[in-house]
Amino acid sequence: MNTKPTLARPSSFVLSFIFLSFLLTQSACMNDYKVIDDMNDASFELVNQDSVRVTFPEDFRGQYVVMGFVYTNCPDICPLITQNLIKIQKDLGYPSNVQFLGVSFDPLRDTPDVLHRYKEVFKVDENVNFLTGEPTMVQSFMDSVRVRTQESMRTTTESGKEIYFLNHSDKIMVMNPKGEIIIEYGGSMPSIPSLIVQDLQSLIQ
Amino acid sequence: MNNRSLLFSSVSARTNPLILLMVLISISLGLLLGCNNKVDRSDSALEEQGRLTDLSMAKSEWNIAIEDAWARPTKAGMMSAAYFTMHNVGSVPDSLVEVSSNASKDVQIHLSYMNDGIMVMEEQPFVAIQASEQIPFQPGGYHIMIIQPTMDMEEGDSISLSLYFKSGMIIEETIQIGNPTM
Repeated sequence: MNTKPTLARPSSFVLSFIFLSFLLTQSACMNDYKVIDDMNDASFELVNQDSVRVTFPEDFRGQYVVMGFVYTNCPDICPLITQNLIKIQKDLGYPSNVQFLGVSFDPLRDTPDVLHRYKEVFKVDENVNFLTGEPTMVQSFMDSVRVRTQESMRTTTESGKEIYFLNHSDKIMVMNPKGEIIIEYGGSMPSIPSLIVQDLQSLIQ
Repeated sequence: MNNRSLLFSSVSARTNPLILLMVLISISLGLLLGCNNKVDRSDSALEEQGRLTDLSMAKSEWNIAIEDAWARPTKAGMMSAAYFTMHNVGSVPDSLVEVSSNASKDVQIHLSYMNDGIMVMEEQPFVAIQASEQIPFQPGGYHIMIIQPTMDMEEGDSISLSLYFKSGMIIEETIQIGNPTM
């Protein structure tokens, strides 16, 4: 007598039950994001690459915001953060209800004109903005999102220009429509876009 | 006419077409070898790099290949970086000690890495490579920083990059502008 089918039926049933329970638990947990920072405690007057005044977070209330922190004199990591922002936007299908921000922590050099040129290099669309502002305002903003910077190297180049570089936090954050930061990942890693896209898709549904 | 002239004129009269052909082939071969701009092994190039070189290594032992090179698009006066895989296909170690480019006077070897939650970037005095080793120069790691290039670097353009090694080898590489990681 062949007993294999008798044994297989309960096993499949149990496995299916466990799998479904796992899926349900996962889907229940996916929308349960803790508030990392409530950005409503303060208001920051900034400007974008076109010198248009932006008040953060008020101007973005009601929308999801994906934001990274960059400076344009960074040749390696910040372009990765920027291209991750662009990839997230592309993989989400250029949603009109999600804003993408690259906020500069080097306001002395990153003027709106410089940010405008930076935006041109990356050929991004109108839902991606780069923000800068008065140095004290930018510093307060960076403190509020716990982005740290420190000067790493100051040097005079062969062509006689003095330049400096910054060590910095590597972050991409997601702010919900209520102005709360709910997702924070490393900004430059290649795996980040797919994680954030997955999170945003579950949130926006 | 002296004996020497006589000898020359008689040989030249008999073998002129053959000699001419051989000379042309030699010149062509010489030009072909000279056009191989991957490695500049000229003595003048070595002398230029005298302060960096370790001439104990025989030229025949130079064997570094630069593979899959690209540089990030940017605009004049901004920043770019070049990336590639440095492959020591030979049997002796060497070190990359200096870089230069036609895109900027200021080109440096840098390394990015995470330290205590902060992304750090430091200039590297050299990058040592062992025999048979491959070292990736890639975003978030080793890279060639091109500071404030004097030209726009548009996708599809190319720049030249010169890589100077401790052994005295100089590699002249043409690098495509583009971003394969996007």
